[in-house]
Amino acid sequence: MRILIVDDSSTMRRIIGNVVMQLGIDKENFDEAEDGLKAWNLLSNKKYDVILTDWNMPNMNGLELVKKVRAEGNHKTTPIIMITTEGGKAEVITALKAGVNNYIVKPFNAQILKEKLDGVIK
Amino acid sequence: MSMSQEEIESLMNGLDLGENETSDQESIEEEDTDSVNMSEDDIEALIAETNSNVKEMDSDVSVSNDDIDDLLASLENEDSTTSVSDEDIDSLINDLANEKIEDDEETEINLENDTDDLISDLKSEGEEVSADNEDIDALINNLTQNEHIEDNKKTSNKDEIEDLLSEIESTNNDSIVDDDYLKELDSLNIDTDAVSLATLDVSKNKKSDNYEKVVDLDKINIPSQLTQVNSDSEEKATVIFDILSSILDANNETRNALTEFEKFFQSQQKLLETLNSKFPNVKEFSDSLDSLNLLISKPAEISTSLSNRDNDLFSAMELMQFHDINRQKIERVMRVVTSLSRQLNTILDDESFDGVPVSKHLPGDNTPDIVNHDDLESLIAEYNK
Repeated sequence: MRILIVDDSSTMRRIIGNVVMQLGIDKENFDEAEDGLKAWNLLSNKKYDVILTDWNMPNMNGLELVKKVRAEGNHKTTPIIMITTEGGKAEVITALKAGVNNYIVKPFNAQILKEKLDGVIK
Repeated sequence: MSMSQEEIESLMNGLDLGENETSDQESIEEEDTDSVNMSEDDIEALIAETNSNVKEMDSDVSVSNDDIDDLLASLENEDSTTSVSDEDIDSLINDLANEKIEDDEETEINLENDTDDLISDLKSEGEEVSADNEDIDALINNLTQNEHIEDNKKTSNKDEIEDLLSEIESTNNDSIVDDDYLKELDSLNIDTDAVSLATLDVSKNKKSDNYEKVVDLDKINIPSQLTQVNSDSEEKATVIFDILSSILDANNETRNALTEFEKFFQSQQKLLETLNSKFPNVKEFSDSLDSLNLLISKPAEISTSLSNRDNDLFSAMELMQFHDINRQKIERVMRVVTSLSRQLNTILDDESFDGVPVSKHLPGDNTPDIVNHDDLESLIAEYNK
């Protein structure tokens, strides 16, 4: 199983990566991208089973990436979990309407991420 | 100088009172009657003359009063910003003073003349006239009192004029420049360091090079500093994460080593159990087996402890999320600051203000080496040689 972690914060990418590793996924099986544009480049070249993305990023934010992934490419049905500080109801609705499968508000509990990842993977 | 009716009557009564005195006095007074009558005529003539002088003086005073009224009216009609020059004020005061002096002198002369006339008239009668010194003194005193009254009136007029002029001066402080005013301002102890009046300069404008630099933009550029804070924080967070990760890795290695120990212990346990069962009489086998049974659970306990420490490390890593949250808060502040800066530039930017000179010293500043009036005059004198 391959996982794509998209976040402009290196700290967040490491945190999420540690959680993923706790699930038994090796470090070689997940990639990192610091903005939506670089993530789109990776998605265009590799196949991923799950996309974990932030919202507020430079160049291309997470919402734009989700809309682009759902509109074109070979990841239209790939599960997407948005991990962001945007905790407003309107933002959650907007992301879900854009095609996000699940939503996590920062700061998050690692157990919650594990449970949601387990649910997505299964 | 004018004598009131009461004073004239008292004067006249003072002369009539001589009839009521003793016979000696009466005889003398009878003798004096004629002279008194004559003196009375003279006195009346004197009084009449005095009154005429007073009227002249009144007219003169009235003239000067009219002038003063005209001056005051003209002053009121003028613009408030118009200031009465010191020279005008001084000339007016001097005129009043000179007029008073002249009046005083004239009054004094008249008094002396009247007195002399009186005395000479008395003497010309050829009779020893023991002039009633008291009457003469009374006359003189009356004349003097009248003079004082007039002086007071003049003085009050002068005081009123000076008060009015002082009020006018107080409303025109802006136009008055003197050392006392400047000293008063310097004594206000304005904290120019807080206000930075003395060092206030306008920031360097890209559009114009006429402004001086207010602050060092490389040192206190706020967005740049906040970006640097974020960068430094990110760097330190990465170091912390590396340390936490190394601890996790060390725990994993320890857990792996414990697995090996656990396998060994299990194998040894089986061996000792077999030996103990076949050779029950060999005490060493049973003792070793007992010792091994005590130790065989230790690797599992250590592994559990390591797992608990790993959970603590994961909790610490989760708390590192707040670094990212704080970074976003700082970026929010940067956005607000940048937006405010743009709005302020829009509000305050005025190309027409380019090149406006700003004084290096203003009253109230704590600028060192400020010349006082004496120094200034000396410098002017020195350079004008």
